[in-house]
Amino acid sequence: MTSAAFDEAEFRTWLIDRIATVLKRDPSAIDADTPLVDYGVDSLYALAIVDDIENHLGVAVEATMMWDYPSVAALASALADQLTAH
Amino acid sequence: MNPRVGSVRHLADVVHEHAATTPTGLAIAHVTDATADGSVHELTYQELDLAARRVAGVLALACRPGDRALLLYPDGADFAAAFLGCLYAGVVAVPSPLPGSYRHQQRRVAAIAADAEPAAVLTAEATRAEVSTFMDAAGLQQTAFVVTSALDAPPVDDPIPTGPDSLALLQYTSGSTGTPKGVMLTQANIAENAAMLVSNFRMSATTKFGAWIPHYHDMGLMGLILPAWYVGSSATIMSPTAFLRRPVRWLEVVDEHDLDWSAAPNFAYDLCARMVTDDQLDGLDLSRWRYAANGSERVQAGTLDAFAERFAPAGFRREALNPCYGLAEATVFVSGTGCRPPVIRRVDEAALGAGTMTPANVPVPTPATRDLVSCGIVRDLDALVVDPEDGTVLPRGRVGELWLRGSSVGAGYWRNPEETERVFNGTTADGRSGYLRTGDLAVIDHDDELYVTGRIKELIIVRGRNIYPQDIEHTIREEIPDFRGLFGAAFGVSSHAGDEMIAVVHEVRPGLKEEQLAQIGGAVKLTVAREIGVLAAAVQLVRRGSVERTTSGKVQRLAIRDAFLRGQHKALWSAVDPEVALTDEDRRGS
Repeated sequence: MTSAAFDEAEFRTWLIDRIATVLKRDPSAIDADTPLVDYGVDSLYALAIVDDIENHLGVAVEATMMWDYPSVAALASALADQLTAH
Repeated sequence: MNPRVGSVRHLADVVHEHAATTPTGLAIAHVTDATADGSVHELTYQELDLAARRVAGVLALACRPGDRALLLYPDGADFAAAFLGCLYAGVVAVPSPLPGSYRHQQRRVAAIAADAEPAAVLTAEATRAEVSTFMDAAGLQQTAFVVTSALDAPPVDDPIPTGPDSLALLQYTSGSTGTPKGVMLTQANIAENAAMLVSNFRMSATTKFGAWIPHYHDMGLMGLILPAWYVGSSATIMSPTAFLRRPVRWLEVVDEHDLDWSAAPNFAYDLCARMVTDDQLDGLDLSRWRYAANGSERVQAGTLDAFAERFAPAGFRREALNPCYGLAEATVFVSGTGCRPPVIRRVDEAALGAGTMTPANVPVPTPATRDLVSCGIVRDLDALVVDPEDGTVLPRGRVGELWLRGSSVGAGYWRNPEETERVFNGTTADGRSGYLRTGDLAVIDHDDELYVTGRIKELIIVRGRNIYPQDIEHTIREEIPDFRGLFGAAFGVSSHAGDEMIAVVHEVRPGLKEEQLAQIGGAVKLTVAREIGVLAAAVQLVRRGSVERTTSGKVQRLAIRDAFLRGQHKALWSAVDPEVALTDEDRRGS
């Protein structure tokens, strides 16, 4: 996937599905604006989820982004900025 | 007494002999780049033996037998050769994590160094600068510093002879800032424990071992590398970080390297069951995995089920699930099942709390039941379940403290006679002495199966990592000025799923406003996460004077935990994760 093809809405849906699967919850229970740590995503899950994001998008993502942008919405918007800036 | 005592040969001699009899046999393999295929650094027994003899040659100049050598290594074959070199030289190995870049990590290594007083610090080329900087900061400028990678020093010819009671290593189990405890393990202990593990599972030179557990962890060294060497097989090691970043990589390594034995704490199985995607599962063949050992934290029935179900399509067999019990004070391995499906008993929670294992005849778990996982049968150690208050030996089916005696029980804590006496010399009411008091609550049933049900020591185990409450308490008091001169307690609590979590109850001075309390509570969570590396699932701030202490001033952590679980603390401020299982909730459910 090239940076121009980043689709923020698609990414949000994908990430919510992914987190819901990992936490064994229904995707509708994951709110995009709620900090993921409130759902129990701690450093252990965060590290592995970053790897999933890298594989999904095909770009390198800093592990610290999960802490700097702690919700699905914040992360999606930060990635949109980062990937369209180049 | 164990019939094998005195008959098991020292590991140094065993490995040295493999180098003569099977020189080209693989001894250790390091999957160096775990995200790319095929990049593996391997040592045969001949190469390992030569590297260890060179290390021993250098140590002979810098140390005398019985001196300690601090081993600060990244994961890899260099550590294995250096450890063996210590055994060859009769020098006591002190495995430790690297000092790293976090303060709590550096403090931990500095505390280990201060306690062990090493005559030499050993490291690999890749970490030369990091370790050198650490040594300056920790005041170890006078200590010999040896980089053992590609050493071309003259090798010794043979391992030096050592007695069975000479120390082989100090195993530090905590990230302690205060008083680190190094378990003293002798030459006989480590050889006996390796022998126990392989005989328990009927392993041979064709049994391949491998895992991502760090080598400074008892399960990563004594539960993996040493039994592999004992039988003349190989240990394949991968980086813990590679696993944490990409959990499926562990399973790929099991498949690609034909591993028979791979061990990890419960959380790792849970993480794999949750994280591995359908795409990743496709192409994975786990049908040859014979021993998926699960140990070093509470084994959970739910995790075993989830893992077996998730990986059945990859050929994983439920009978490969291998719940184990062990602890560093007994080298590592105490018991484990193998080659059979896990034995799980649904018992009545209230009866268990009252001290007996009573079957709950219900088809599904309820809040009034608990599913206990058998950790197998203790075959090579003398195991008793004892009333911890008066030393009465309890009959089968009763809950008490697990006491152990035998050839792999360590010699005590390094330079700590008081704790050594308390922990390593338990005496029963009927006068049997010399037992290790494990601090774990357990039941042995009529089939000799061991079930661990709880803990009476204050140690907290999160994801296989031992955390001492003193470290948390000390750290938050240092970092949070409002806590000066006040008391607090950290302790372990259980989640609804059965995972251990951290709780902190701390006193605050009077007259603080709600927002000040919230700020302090937030600082506790942040400090524990940053400095200790774990989440504080519950934080309560209480009035000065309400943290219970003994007359000598010792904080009563277990009593405070009990009051917390029963909701008896009048907290000024409280943040408790809904995942934390409280006592009154259990009551409501029953």
